[in-house]
Amino acid sequence: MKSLTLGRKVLLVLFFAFLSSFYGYGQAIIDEPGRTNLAPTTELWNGLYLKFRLSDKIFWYQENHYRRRSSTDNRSDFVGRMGQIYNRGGLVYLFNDQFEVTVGPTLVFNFTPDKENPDYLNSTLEPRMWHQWLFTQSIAGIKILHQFRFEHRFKRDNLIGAEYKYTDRYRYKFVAYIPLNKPKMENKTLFISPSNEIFFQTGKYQREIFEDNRVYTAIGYTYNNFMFFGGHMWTYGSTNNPGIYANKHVLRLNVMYTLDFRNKRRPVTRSLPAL
Amino acid sequence: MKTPLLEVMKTYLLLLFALFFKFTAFGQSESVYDGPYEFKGKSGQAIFEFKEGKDGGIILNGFFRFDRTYIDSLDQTLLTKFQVSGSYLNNVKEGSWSFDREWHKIALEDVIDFKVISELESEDLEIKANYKAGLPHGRWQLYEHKFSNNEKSLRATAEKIDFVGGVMIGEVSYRKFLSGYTQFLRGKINDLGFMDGEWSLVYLKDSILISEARKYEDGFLLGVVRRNMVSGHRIDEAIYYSTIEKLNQINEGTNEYFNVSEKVFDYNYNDGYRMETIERQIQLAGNEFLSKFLKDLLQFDDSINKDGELQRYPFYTKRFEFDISGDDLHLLAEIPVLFDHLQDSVNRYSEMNSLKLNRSKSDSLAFSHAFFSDRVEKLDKMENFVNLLRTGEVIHYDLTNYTRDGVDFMSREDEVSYVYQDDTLSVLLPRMVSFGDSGTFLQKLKAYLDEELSFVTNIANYVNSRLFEIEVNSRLVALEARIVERKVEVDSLYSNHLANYDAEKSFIEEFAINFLVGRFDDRSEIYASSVDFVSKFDQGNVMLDLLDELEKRLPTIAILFERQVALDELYMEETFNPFTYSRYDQRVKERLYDAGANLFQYYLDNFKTEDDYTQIRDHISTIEKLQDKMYELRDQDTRSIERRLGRRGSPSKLASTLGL
Repeated sequence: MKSLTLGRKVLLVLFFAFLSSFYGYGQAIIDEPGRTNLAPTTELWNGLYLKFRLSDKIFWYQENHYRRRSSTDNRSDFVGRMGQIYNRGGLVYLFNDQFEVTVGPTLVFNFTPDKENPDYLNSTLEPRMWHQWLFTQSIAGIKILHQFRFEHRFKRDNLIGAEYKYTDRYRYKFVAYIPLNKPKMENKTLFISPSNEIFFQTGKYQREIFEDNRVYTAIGYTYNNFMFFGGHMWTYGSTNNPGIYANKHVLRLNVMYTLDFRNKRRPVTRSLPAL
Repeated sequence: MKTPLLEVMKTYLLLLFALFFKFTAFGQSESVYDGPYEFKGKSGQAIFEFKEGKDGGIILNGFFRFDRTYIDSLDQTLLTKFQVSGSYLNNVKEGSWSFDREWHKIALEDVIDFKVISELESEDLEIKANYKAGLPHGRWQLYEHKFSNNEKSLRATAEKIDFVGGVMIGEVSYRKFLSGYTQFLRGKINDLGFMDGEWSLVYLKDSILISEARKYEDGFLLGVVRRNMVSGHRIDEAIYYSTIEKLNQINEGTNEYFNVSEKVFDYNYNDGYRMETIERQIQLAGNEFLSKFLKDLLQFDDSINKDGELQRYPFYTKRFEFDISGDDLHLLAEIPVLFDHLQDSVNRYSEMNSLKLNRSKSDSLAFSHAFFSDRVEKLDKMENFVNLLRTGEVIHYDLTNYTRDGVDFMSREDEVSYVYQDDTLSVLLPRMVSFGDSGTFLQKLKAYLDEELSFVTNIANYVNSRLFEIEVNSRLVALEARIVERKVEVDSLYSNHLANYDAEKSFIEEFAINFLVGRFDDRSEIYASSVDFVSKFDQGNVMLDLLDELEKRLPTIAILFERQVALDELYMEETFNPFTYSRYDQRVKERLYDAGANLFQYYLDNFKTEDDYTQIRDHISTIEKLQDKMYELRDQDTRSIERRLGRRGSPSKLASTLGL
């Protein structure tokens, strides 16, 4: 059973590695007719994820990102320009261990792509409303999440005078937590987490429905109320210019933290030997 | 049937009643009792005068008459009668007394014309006595008649027996007629009560009518001759030359070391002769006849005790008294002490079961067993003489006579025969000291006993050491077998122990290696190097104790691990991770738990390297206390303790912080 579980884990890792190479590097060298792939750029995303349990069913969810992107003259430096400050919050309703729904606002600060260019505003605000439907399942100690997220965005370009445009975004993410040092996900578990998230968008001004695809492989560790999580993400998606696609290599460093405010941690009830 | 006790009680009740009656009715100084009474152990009716003593007791004073007529309850043809009459003066016999005892057996033969035809067979003993102040005084007469076949015949008679103050004097004559023979004794007792002059005794002994003539001189027996009365042949003769010679020396005034004793002795004359000598043996049958006579005559007198034995003799013999030299005086005390010591040792070893059981293990042990049995007999032979020393009677013994024919218990050599492996063997023990050596008899006896004690001590020491060796070997063999058996059992117990946890398995393996191999081997070496039995036996028992302890503690040790696992679970709580959407147990009070777990491991490490098995219990107790404490702290507010545990500390500090 243990060897089977390990076999499955290996297969999953190989599968995501295959996907990653197909999307990331395979397409970078194949230019289909009518499609232009821009040279890859690099970014560094730092995120803090919080999840506070307010009641048996309700959590407060919050994530704050500090994202940098590569310089215009050096696409490999990851941190040359300011990218975004990303603030997302929401209330979570936990129906059961396998299903939860989250609803809340998002406020993103989008920074200028060229700080020296006076035609650009240094930063613009991008408010959103979002809701998310999350399903989980466990297979042989591996936790698998199916995350459906819907975002309603009001977004504008950094060019001075640009107008806000409303778009809807549809995201589906498949993510697995594969424990490496424990039979299942628990405290002090080192795990690998491959995921893939595909983004679609609709809107009055949108000509291409496919927005982005993110292949992300991370290594994480759970420690009491913390989860440390980081890895490489390759994204491939459309740009505002039709037929032109951009791809990025993003380093992600995340810290997750949870607190239980119920102040009534359920004691373990087991039959204990008599003293 | 009335019991004697009831009879006696009844007698005394009536006497009390008589006393009461005297004071209330008449107020006389003398009273008369008439009622049941017991005389010389016989119940009957008595009438007598008495007065009350100062202490309220009855004092017989005046006439006394006792009658008893008794028909046997089983054989109604047997009738016994006993009549006593006399008088008391202040509770002692005084004046004339008459004792008449009759025995009748009536055989019913027929009844013809209402007339009973029967045959009577009777015996009648009549003693007429005189007393003064409770002692025989005056003439006594004894008549014993027999009635058979309608004919009365005299069976025994002693007509002229005169007493003065309890002592016979003058001519003594007693005749007894039996089965056609006439047995008699006739002799003279001088005024001081000593046998004197010629004495003639005719008595039946072993179907032979023996005539015995004795010659006394003022209590000293000078000679005895015995003849067969029928054939006239002389049977034996003893002339007491030694006595005659000493008497001559006294008469001549040449006696230096002896004189006539002032004590008086019974009719068994002895001048230091040993029992097996003719001088002693020749008197026995005649003295027995004398004894019968006296017991017949005095059977109702106080000189005969309840057992029918003479306790006061009516005539005496004399003996000499010998001076004991100053050198020998202390031996009178030393020899009995030495003898008793010797006898104790000999008896102990002769009765020693272990020696008896192990005597077949070696020739020497077989000899030793026989030696002590032989010594018992030898000491028995000595005992009479030692008792003479003990009582002081030896001063009346002429030791020249005593040792005249040699002394059998002081032989020149001792031969001890014994059986070993179906062969009868013997060992000659040459003696350095014997009767024939120089010195006084007592000195030789002391030296002989010293040598005897030396033999006994040496052989006893040998027996002790051999029996000890045998016991040691057998006990050690049994002990070692037990140790091996227990070791196999405990080894098996530990090797077959089914541990529920890896930590338990690992610990018990190391624990077993430490104690069942290391410490046990240490003990084995100490045991092997112990020389004397006691320490060896002690060490063997320590090894058994070690194994017992290991056997006893194993279940408790296993429980320690169960408790630790339970503690592990107790300090876990189920939690839900909202990022991975998984539920799992998460440690609570982690710092506290870790401190307990570290301390547990520290204690275990100390435990498994312990050298002293007697500390096992203490180690277990220490761990149990820790676990108890951890259970206790689980539901308590331990934030203060946890803060203090934050700083790294030594095990002792951890224990202190946890309140242990």
